[in-house]
Amino acid sequence: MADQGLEGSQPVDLQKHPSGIVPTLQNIVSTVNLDCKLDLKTIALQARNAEYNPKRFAAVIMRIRDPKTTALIFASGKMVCTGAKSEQQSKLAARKYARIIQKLGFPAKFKDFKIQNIVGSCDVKFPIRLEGLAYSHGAFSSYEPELFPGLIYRMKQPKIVLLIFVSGKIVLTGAKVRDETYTAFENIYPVLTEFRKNQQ
Amino acid sequence: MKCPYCSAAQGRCATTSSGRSITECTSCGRVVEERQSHPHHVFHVRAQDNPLCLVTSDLALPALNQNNEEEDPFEPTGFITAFSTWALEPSPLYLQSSLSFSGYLAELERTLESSSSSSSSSSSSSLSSTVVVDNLRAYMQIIDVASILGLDCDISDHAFQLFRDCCSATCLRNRSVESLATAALVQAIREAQEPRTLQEISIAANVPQKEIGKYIKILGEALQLSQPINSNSISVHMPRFCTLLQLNKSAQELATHIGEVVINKCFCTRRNPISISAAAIYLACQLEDKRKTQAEICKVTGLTEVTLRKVYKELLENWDDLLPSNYTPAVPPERAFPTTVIASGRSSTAKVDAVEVISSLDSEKLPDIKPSKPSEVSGMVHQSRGMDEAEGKSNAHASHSTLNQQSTFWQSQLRSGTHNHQNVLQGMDIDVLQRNHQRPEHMAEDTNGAANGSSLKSNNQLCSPPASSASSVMRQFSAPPSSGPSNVRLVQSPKIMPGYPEH
Repeated sequence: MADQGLEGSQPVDLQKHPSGIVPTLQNIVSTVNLDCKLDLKTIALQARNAEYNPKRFAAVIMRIRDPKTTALIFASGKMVCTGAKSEQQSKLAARKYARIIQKLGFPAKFKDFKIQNIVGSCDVKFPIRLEGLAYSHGAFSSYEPELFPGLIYRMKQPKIVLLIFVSGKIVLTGAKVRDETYTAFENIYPVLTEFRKNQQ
Repeated sequence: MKCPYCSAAQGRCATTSSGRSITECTSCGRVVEERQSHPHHVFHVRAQDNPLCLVTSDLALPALNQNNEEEDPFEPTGFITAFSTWALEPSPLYLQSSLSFSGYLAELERTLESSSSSSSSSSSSSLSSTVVVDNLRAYMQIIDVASILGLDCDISDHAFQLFRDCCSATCLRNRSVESLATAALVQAIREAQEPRTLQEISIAANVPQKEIGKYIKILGEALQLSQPINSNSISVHMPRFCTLLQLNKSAQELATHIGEVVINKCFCTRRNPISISAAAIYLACQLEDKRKTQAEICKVTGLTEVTLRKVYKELLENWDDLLPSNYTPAVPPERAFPTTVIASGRSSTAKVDAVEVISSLDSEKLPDIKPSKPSEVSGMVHQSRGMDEAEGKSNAHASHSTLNQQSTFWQSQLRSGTHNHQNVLQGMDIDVLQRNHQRPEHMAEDTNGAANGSSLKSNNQLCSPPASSASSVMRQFSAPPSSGPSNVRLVQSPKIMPGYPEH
């Protein structure tokens, strides 16, 4: 897992992050409308780093190296861009894909760009009693260690899903804005400290 | 008995259209209980009470039977038989035994009949019949799975109640009735503290585990249920596994303790509690000399043998931390799990002695350091072997200089001359060693060249006595932090050269 967002390199703003830990953004999923019908076969044949298998999935899968992202381009002109590490990178990558489509001779525009999901992660550096957490926060928690080793915590406000692991590693997903991720972590941190596992 | 629908306490007896006896609620009219009656003739029950002897008269043989080869031995003479006096009663007496059980099924049947008999084919009636069919399917699923798992009828009744509550709380269109019913049963099992693994339930219900997990979540969200405490903990499953394996109390307690320590100390953080339970049982069985095969444990727990072995190896890495402080095993750990099991396969190739290098070189004896854990020796070997690839090239260049730096060490070994350390010098060309020692220092430095920058110091190298001057390679070695004092080094005994006798 990557290093903590701003830890080490820059001092953490304790007003914004009282826990002293800043979740690192790992993935951004965004969508954009190119506002024109596309011939996927043509795109697959003419573009580089593009794969198209209509039997398997009805979209062209295209990749670029900088920013390192993957796009799903549909015949309707809608596009999904995944893999960027920041909002700016995601938008830049989406623009690059749109430009590639334009160069292939399609009248692609760049309408309705929207970030759909932000995935972040961090490490609280102490083990957590997941069973106790699942019991006391039963309305929000789902813990099935026979199926998945992490506890799934569905926070209501902000509407974020957290995967909490015994080791103290946390994954936060479902945010539309970066601040939602930060708020969700600051909300959950006191709960995690409450259920800190005392190693004998 | 209370009505589960309206909580009224009064009921009346009635009969269904199919002739079964039921108890109806007086207030809401729904079926609360169903009774099955079995009539018995009293004289069957009380046979041989006051027998009445009857003697048949001697009858002449009929003409038809005279030709028969086999004659009836009783026919020519009279025979005596005994009837119970109760058999002569003009109107026989009957006893009735009654079996009562939940009235859900009868209520569902009645609702189904009423909805199908009603001629109006409105959407509401079709909807109600669909609900009834769903309820019937769910009830049958719950009963089937509960009977396979050997669960109490209270649990299955509670599961069906949960299912119905969920149906009324949320829309279940395009949802699997069987999966939801199974999820309700899982919840009921957990609330009743009657441990069953998801795998067992999945096999019994013929529903994938993932699907059950999904529907448990749906059920929990619909009914605002919280997860019962310790529903997934090792301590819940351990007693049942131990009972099925017929382990004694001490082995069971040890296995439970091991399981709890593993969880508390986070040794196997990403492991399923069932697999930790199984490995803990296997470990406890070995220490208590109650040998159970991996296959036996896997059959009870539902794991694969590969998983059991993997988790067992993970536990062995910390086995001395797992045991209670005042515990004395029936089998010593060295015999219960030999070091060959603990150390990985790579370390078995070279025999290694851990030797403490004393600062005063003319010391008489070099004491052997025994590592606290058997795994530490293998760890040392792994580290020393890991250096081979990293330093192969630089060591080839630096062989002469390093040998020169180390010569005092080997000479001190020569001087000590104790029998213990004869093997250090086996296969070593002493003339070559002394010849190298007499070379001037600057010559050695010249041959070293670029390797000088790596600052190979004599006190942190793994010394391997060379078979010949060309193949003498010194390896750097950094001892692990847990392996005692910092001056512990490894000396690898070389293969014996021809012409040197073995001691």
